Amino acid sequence: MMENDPVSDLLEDIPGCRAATHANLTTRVTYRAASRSDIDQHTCESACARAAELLGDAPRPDGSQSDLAAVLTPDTTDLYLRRAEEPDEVIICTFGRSTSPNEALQKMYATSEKLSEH
Amino acid sequence: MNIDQSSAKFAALLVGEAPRFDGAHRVLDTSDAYSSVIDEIDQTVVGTSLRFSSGDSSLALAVQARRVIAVSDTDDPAARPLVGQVLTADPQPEHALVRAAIARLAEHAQTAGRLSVDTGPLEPDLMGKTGQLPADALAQPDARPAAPRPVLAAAEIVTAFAPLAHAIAAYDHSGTADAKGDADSLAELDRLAGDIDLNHLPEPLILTVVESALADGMAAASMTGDGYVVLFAVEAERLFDVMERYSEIART
Repeated sequence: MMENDPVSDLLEDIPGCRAATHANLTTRVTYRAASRSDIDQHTCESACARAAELLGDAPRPDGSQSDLAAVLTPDTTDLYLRRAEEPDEVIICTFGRSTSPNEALQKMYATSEKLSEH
Repeated sequence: MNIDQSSAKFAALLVGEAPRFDGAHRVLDTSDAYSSVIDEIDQTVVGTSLRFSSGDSSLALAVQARRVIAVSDTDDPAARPLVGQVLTADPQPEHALVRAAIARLAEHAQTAGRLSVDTGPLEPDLMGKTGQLPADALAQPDARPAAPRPVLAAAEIVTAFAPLAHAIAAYDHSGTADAKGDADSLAELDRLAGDIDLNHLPEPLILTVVESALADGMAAASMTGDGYVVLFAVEAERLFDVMERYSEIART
């Protein structure tokens, strides 16, 4: 994992957060966080398919910074983030129930801002 | 166990599914997560520390001779006082706490669809202790996970989220909408509803939010309940409030 990578920061800061990035929503899966043992290929592919459903494959028309989608169950919060400048890359995080949905969303927005600075 | 039973068990082991791993964690079946945990205890003969995890919930048990010696770690507040205490054979309130801790984890695992176990050596201070709480004693019917949460009625969802939404509409399988809000947003929600297969709704109590999914940067959200899908249009700045409200509804 890269040093000073906002996604890595996200992983380190919140217990129970799992994250993966996905390049090219329809054809290829990458494992930027593959060194984390709690992310397997099936999980990543399922999450990426869900991201494609939620965010669509096209970049945002207005050129704004991020797309954000969230799926909440009583026990987990899954967040999907896409940057307008990197429309083929989606960051997916799953937060456990010890993290409130608001906390997860705030963290995701903060990560979005950090990513836009890179 | 007679020779036939032994042969049958051995044959079953040979044709059994190979263990699945998620990185370093061995994955357990979540279709009956409670039984998966009990089976794991029942198969542990040599003194071992078993850590069961689902997301950020976990329960660590010291196990030997198919019996639980002690709870080593738990995030269940009710069971935390047990950590490190050697369990006895006599029925005790402690046994119910262990069962409840397993049931809690199992419920989480079944919701999340994830359960794994890591094994390690026993903690040094538990070496030589005799486990007294057998798997059989844990497998009580009353220790099964609680019944699934009740399905929320569409009207309750509308009541909960209407104050936060520009527009909100409930659709059933025939597409009928019970709607309130501004006309433009309702028209957009109708368009979204046209893309949803209302005969195959996702599980109840799941909230999905997509930022900037509607015109003018509005977010679209959906939640299902009692055969309806409720769609609502909300300003992006109010997403925090929507998620907070959901948290209040779903976790109580």
